[in-house]
Amino acid sequence: MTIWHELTRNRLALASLALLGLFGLLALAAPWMAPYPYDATDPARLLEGPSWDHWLGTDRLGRDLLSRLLYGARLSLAVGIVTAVGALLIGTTYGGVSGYIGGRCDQAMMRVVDVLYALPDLLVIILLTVWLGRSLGSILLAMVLVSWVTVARIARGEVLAVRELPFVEAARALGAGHGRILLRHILPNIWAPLLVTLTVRVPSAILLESTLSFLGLGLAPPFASWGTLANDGWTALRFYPHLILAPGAAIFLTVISFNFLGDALRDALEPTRGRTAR
Amino acid sequence: MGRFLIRRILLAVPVFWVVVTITFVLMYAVPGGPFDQEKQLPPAIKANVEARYHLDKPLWQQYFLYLKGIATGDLGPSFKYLHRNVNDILRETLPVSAWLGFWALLVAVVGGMTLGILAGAYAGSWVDRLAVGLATLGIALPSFLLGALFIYLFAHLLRWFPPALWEGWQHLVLPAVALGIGPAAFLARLVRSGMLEVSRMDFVRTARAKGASEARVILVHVLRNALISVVTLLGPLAAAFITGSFVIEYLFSIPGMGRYFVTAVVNRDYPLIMGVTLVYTIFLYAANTLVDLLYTWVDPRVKVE
Repeated sequence: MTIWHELTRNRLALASLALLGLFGLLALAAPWMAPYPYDATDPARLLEGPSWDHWLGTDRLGRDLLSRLLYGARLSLAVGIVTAVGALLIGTTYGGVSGYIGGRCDQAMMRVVDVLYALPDLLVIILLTVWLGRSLGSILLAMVLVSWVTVARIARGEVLAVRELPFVEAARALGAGHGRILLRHILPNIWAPLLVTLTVRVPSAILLESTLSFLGLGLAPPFASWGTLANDGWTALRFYPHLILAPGAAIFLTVISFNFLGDALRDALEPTRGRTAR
Repeated sequence: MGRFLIRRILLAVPVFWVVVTITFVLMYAVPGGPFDQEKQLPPAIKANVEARYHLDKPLWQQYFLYLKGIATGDLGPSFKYLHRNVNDILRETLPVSAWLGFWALLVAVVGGMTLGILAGAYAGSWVDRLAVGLATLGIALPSFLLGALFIYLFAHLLRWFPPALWEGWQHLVLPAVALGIGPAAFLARLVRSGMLEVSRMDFVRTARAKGASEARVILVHVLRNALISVVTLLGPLAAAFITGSFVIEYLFSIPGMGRYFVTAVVNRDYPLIMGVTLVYTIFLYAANTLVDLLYTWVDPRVKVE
């Protein structure tokens, strides 16, 4: 309750939450909200500006931009959330176990993370999708594979900070097994920074996917995420800048809202770490 | 330090070997060869083509041929550009990307540091709020949107700079700024928070108490210690420039390595993909080694072994 209270005092965070909620609802309701099917072309009305019929205008095949944006939201948001949750699960397990075991095993496990951390995410994803193909599943897999390392580092650091505390020792003295200590004693004490990490991973996954799609290396055509729409718009930039501006603004607003929310959560959950320092 | 460098150089061999092997396996695990086109080639011609590129040999032979090539500095032929090999292409595109990267780095370091120092020194003032606002925008804006906005505003509307191509300095301005802004924003946030953390420490109060001028306190005592946290993130920052260059070179039609990499992926030009990946690995490895050395210089408590 106190977290909620802290959050609602922060107007920026509240506005961000409202906007993200709206985007989420619109994405879920896309089949009912969208005025046109996302792939319906209209050869008579190519590249139009905003009008009553088409609130955001049409693209070079006469498809309604608003409808495509609504359907694109489903894909972009889903990729962001699934990637972040997947990265959180793998990263927390790996980092948590590594930090809990400690010693040489920890050192070896973290060297792997260091190597992956130093590689450019986009490069690795592109190489992986060359191998795995460009289906939704393989793109999600590739995104999770590059995203979990950051989470692993954070989770390890948190476990290292907690595992020597007296209550863990007390649990051990009472005969609790390693699994029980990790799940029942350590995890409840590190979930706050992990939640913050989750809100930071979602927007970076959305940015990553949109960049991939913008380069034409994302999901293959019948699907269109915001990045794909931005690429469509890019080809007509000179005379129809609204075509790239609309999906670009959607990405920007989503990403910045998640960032504001993450900052606010951090302030609410970790008051001791210094609000001004962020 | 000499020993550190020697160890790093020796370690480079297995690191590159792993990267080369992984890329090789990945590329050849892909379904569909580079010469599978909609128009079927006559079998005899196809066999000829495959023989020229050693594609008819068993995989392990191709692997050793490739390793041998790399050891002698030959990255093989390109599958797509028939009259150029990968070495030629890299020789042309690497300087372009490096030049662009150099100026973008300058934009990022000068812009990011200035913004961060101003914000940290005048924490809570309008300068601070402006700097934080700019940095927040810079982090959330996707690089393709920023680049496209630049092209639309400064090339199409105002006609200050050309929208594309790569000839004189006027072709450099927009892409360098577009590539540098994201890292600049990131750096500004980092410098600011580092400075705020350091400025509460005892040695800063001591410096002030001894009568050091405000400029000296900030530039010598606070900034130097704030830089420690910045240096650790220069590695990921180098990686960010590579990612950014894919997008920026694509947007501005710059004949650099990033654009060739994206095209090579679309064309399934395996040798070119591997060659570019190898160059990126070398670059990142060198950058990370440099970061470790810088770290000892900024923070004398750290010793490299």
